[in-house]
Amino acid sequence: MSYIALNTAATGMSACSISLDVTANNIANANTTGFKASRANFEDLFYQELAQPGLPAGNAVQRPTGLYVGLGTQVSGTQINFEQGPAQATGLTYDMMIEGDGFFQLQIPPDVGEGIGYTRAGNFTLNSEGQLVLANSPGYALQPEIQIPENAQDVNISQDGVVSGSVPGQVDAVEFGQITLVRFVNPSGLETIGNNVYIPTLASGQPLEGEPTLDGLGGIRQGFLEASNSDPVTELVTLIKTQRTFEMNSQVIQASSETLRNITNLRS
Amino acid sequence: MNYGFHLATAGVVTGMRRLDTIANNLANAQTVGFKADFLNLEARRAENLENGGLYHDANRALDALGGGKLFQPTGIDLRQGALRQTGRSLDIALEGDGFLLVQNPAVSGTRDTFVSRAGELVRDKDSRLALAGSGATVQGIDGNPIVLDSEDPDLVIDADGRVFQSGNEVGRLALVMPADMSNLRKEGRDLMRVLGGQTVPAPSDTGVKQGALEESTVDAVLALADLVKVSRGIEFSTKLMQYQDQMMGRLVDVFGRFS
Repeated sequence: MSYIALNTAATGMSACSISLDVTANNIANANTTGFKASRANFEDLFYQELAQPGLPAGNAVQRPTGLYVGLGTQVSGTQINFEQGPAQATGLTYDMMIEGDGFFQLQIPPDVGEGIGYTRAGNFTLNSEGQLVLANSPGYALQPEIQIPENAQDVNISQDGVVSGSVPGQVDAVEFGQITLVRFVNPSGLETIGNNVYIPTLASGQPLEGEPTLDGLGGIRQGFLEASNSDPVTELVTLIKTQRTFEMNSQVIQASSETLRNITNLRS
Repeated sequence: MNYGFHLATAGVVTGMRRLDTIANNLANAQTVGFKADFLNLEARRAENLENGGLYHDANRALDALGGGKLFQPTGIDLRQGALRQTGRSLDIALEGDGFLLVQNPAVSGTRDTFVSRAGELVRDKDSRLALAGSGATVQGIDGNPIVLDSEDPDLVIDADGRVFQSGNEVGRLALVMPADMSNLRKEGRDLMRVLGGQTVPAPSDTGVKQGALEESTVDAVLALADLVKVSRGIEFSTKLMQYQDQMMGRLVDVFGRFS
């Protein structure tokens, strides 16, 4: 009955509002370093069978196919798009960009996931103890930990993740540490916990660790940041489409409501 | 007696069902790979004729009236949807009549086979190609899921559905279509079941386009035009029911009075 149409249109409107939220977050993060845009995937809900195939159709004929009515739509999930974001030259010593599928590892509070978080944001800095930490609000430390001596100069991060520099009194460059990266079989299955950090889930698979430039992890570029991969044009097109679909679904609600009113007023 | 009342009722009932179908189509205007449903109506012949009776019957006037409206089975509008470029290597769009063959773990434990046009793919945790929505694994031409090398991020799918990683072919997508298109039944979650399970290979002109998605075939203009038409149709039918009711009321008033 028109009750179905009412509910169906409501599912369309609520799915559109989720899609609108996702788009809003993408646009809000258009300037967030290492941000990866998400999209809401729509899928059809199940179908109500009104007549089964093979049922007599009245005139001694059997229905060749059934009669069914769909019950609307839902957002099946939000999918993170891990395509590479554009490079942004900053020239800062501890800014790093990953050119490939890798993630930096971060020490996060032990009660979140397994205590290790993963990020694409490479805006690192030093804390008061000379440790490399992410310059996000909680300041998570890079794993494996890298300590830069106070008197170090000309710190260089090579493409394969070796952090080195010169120390007064020594002729050769000193190696301070080796950055390792991880990748996931299904990065779309990662859970976003905010602050540019992801944690693994059953769907993402376990992190596969390795040195930069190997196994598709990608090399590290010092002095660059990976800008947000949220594309304003795509997002605005999605915004327009979502808003219009929302409006169309509200038209259906209006039509079914009018229909129900007509029927209610039959006996007048 | 009062035959018209029932004919008008049939108009309301079928109209409301069409409204449901339009609502589902519009709700799925943004669902990738969605194919619009259409609910056709047919004129129902008078019962006497449906039962094989002859035209020249005692109730000839009634036979000429017909029996109102009937639903025809729900059909699926299998037109090609527009392609939207996404640039994502795990997005594919099908061009032509074919479908992806996918397998979903069924409740009972065995795996169920479906077809789908929704090309939002992911690598699942076992590094198999799967649909992003339902997690159903995409079948290869050899009848097994397509397993990718988890160490290798590279993925190229060519127009024939061959899947390459760093130049090596790791599988080929099974592109199929139902032996009889009318056996296609929507299951929800982007999946369609083939009643009887009979599929044949898709025609050779079925192409796979990587980095694009097929948009829903729901035509918003036609759907809204239908919405106006159907809701007005229901209004007319309810008005007719009211006139019939008023007429009956008058009849009861005038002839039903014993004095």
